[in-house]
Amino acid sequence: MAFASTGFLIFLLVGVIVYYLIPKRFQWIWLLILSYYFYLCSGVKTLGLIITTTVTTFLGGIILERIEEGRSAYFKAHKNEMAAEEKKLYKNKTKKYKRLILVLVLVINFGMLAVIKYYGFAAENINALLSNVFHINVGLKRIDFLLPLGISFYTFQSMGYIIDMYQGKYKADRNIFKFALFVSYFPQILQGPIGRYNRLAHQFFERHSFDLVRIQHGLQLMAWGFFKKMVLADRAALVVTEVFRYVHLYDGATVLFGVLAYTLQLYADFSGGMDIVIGASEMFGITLDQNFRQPFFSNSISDFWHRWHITLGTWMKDYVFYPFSLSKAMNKFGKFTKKIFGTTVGRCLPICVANLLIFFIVGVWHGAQWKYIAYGMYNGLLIAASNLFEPLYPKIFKALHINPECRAWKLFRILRTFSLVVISFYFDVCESLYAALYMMRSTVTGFSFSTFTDGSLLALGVDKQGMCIIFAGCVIWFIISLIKEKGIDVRAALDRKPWFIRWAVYGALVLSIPVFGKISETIGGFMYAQF
Amino acid sequence: MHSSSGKKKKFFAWMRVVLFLACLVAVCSAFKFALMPPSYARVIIHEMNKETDKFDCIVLGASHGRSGINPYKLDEELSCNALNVCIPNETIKDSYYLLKEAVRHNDVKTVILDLDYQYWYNLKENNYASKFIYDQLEFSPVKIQYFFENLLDEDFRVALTRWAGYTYLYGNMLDNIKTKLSEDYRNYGINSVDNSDAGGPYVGKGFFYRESPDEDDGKGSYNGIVFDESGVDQDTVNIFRRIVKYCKKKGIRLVCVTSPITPAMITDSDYGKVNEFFEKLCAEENVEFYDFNFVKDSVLEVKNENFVDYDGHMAGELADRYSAVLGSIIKKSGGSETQEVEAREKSVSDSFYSSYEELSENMNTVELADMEITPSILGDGKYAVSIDVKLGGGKNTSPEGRIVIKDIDSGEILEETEYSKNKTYYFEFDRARYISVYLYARNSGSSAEYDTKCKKRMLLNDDAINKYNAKKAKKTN
Repeated sequence: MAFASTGFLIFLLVGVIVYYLIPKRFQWIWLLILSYYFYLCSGVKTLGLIITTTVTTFLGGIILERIEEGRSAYFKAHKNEMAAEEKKLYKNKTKKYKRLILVLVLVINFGMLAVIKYYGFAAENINALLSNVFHINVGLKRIDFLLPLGISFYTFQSMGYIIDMYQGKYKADRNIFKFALFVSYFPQILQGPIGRYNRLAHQFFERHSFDLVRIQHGLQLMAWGFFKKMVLADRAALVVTEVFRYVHLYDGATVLFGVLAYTLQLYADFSGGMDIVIGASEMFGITLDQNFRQPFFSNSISDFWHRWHITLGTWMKDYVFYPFSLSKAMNKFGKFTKKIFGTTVGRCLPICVANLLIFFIVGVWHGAQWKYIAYGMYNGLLIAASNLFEPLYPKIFKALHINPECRAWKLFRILRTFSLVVISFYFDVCESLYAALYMMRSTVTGFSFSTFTDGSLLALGVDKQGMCIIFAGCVIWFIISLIKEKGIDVRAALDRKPWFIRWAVYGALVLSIPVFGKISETIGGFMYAQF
Repeated sequence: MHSSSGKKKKFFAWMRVVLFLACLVAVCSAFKFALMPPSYARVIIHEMNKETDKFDCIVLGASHGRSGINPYKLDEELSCNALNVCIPNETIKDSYYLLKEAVRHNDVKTVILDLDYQYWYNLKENNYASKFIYDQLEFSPVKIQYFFENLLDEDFRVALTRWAGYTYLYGNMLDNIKTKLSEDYRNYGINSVDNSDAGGPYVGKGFFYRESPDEDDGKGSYNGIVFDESGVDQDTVNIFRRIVKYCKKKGIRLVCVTSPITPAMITDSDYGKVNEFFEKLCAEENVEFYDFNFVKDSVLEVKNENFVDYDGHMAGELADRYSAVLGSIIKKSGGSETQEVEAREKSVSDSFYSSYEELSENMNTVELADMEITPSILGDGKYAVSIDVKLGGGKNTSPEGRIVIKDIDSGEILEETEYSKNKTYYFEFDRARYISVYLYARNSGSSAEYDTKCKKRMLLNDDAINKYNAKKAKKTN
């Protein structure tokens, strides 16, 4: 069931009405029913996968907690009898059991994800490697499995839970149905945000009373999301499809225009989708984590990743970056690099390695293609380089007489980051790594300014009128982002305006979707739903 | 005191919501009124639903059915009151809901369903435009059923703001408003809607008498039949099965027919596959099926000249003859109500060829003559054209063609060839010209001047040729 479908709106309407009409203690059960209905609408074939994730993670959580409880009880009972050495031994033993359970759950779930998402890619590359290098023809058959709805999102969300349980952050859920709701909650299953158990679970099981203002806020956010998706993303998509249809078709300026259109498409599509998800959830009284915070106001790539797809970034930071960089091996590596390169560089290198690993995973998470790995590594390398050169910045500023606090410098940093991000999107939008590199080169070597003035950009699928709509939409979005960047809550500010102004704004927003939205033959899916 | 002010606040909050929704509905209705073009479907559905005239025979289908089946002829043959509810671009899905709508208002005894393979194979529906019949259905259980069965998976704008699909036609808003405010439109007058695609005057009961085209005017481009059963839209097959089931449940006699299309099209062997597919499907569903492209010449003589275009839209003269034959076949095969479908079909089988092979064997003249002209600039003010010829006929025909090129301005014959089996021709011209190219085709060895012919025009100058080639390249891309 697509978010933009009539069926989804009716589903949501019925869902909200029943949610507030039934006794409050049954509200979470209703949400679970809605979530499974939503999931089943995409087909029953993949139901087994989400159930496997739910059951294994749920049982894993309980077992981890039992082991921990058993250890505490044992220590309590034998407090006076145990020697320190014995205690340590026992602790290590329980830790080993816990690790075994954790690894088992991780292997089952990431294993399913890996097989479904990456088997085809792996088979193709193993075949190529063995036949080209070792001249062995193993002929692994490429199988492209049916990608289950939201598998990357619910797997990451569930694995976050089991790692938290391993770290003893909170109590395990004892009700499998309640846990099933955490895994399958329908607004976020399709494209995130990747939720955390400690921030979501209590909201699911709290009793929610009807609140008209909250419903209004949810609807406003959804309308804003549809505006971004249908007016901006779907229009920009026309240019993107045309420009990136063939690698050799267009000159450098057109390719640059295409990649800028892709930047708009991706941002409007993904953040619009998030607004719809968060808005829909808000109508049930459940607040989801934000996934975007004005990413194009970032002053560095590192800052960009703190503002773009935030929940994936924080997931990576909490469950990969910290465990990896604080591991014994990295500790040893840190000591080694300090010895070789000195304290400053030596301290930075392990962080750089951890960042490279993170962005390698981010790349692979996006898809089983070399271009995505290149996309991840490009970002990882930029951040690693930035970390390494950071100690030199004050010296450079001094030498070049740059005041890092002045506006011009800040603006330069924003534009520089924007340019670096746009370059990274070549990997994302082009069909292959080769195509990305070729088009990057053609942007530089085949660039002609006349392309911007001779009207050829208007022959890419969006006419003058469409361009004006995109431009006006971007200006509105920019102003709203600027206000938010200054720390002003736009919705709260609007709420303080006289009611007729407020409702006129809502009306204009709602009507702009059918009036200015791109009309397409097929229902528009969201780009991140494919991950 | 506090509680009463809280209630008041709540009341006003809800009032604002209601007012907002009311305003939204009003604005959307205004957009709908101004943007959505007046439609022929509105007129014919009103005709079908009106209380003063009840129909017991309904014809369903698309444009072939509308131009080919004259309900007055059916009335004469079947002693019924027939209505042609064929609407251009009406899909089988639309036919299902129109049938249900017809049954709500009429005591329908017979349904003639015109099966046009183009609505079954490789079907590409447009979200907005293809739901035009839904737009015109009055609010009823049928409309609600249509909504729930077809619009839930669509973009919400397709269902809730259907006018959004016509925003690119904002230039027509004033005309739409003017038309929709006219008395004729309010009274469902046929002249209040654009019927330019009908190609002739409205006779009544959903039938337009299309005028025969000028003999020298071509029939547009010839696009041969491409049909493969694997490309058949399964949703269409399923909805067809629902039509059959519904008719059986309601005790309605369902007669499936394929109206004649140009013999030129029938020369394409894929037509045999089309016929096989419909034969098989109707046999599976135990429904009568008559393919009038297989009707013998002695029963109904069909020539390319009887059509407005290659695609198969009949001119009025053939439509009258065909409708009379259709009526008589339905009457003859009618027999008793309990008669089996097989027996009904058998009772009229002597009027039809039994297979595509038999039809092809009996096609003794050349029926297809088409050509593609490619102009080129030679320089120094000289031009050339190369002509690719496409000829076709029955199994035993051996087509040959002859080219004649005339200067349109002077009427002078510039080039003339003898009959031959050549597939390509090349001619050069020493200056810019506006030419007509005639292709005459006949069976090899025949003494007839020609069996069929084709005529195309071409302007030979730099500008026109460049434009032509750019257009062709764009099409190829």
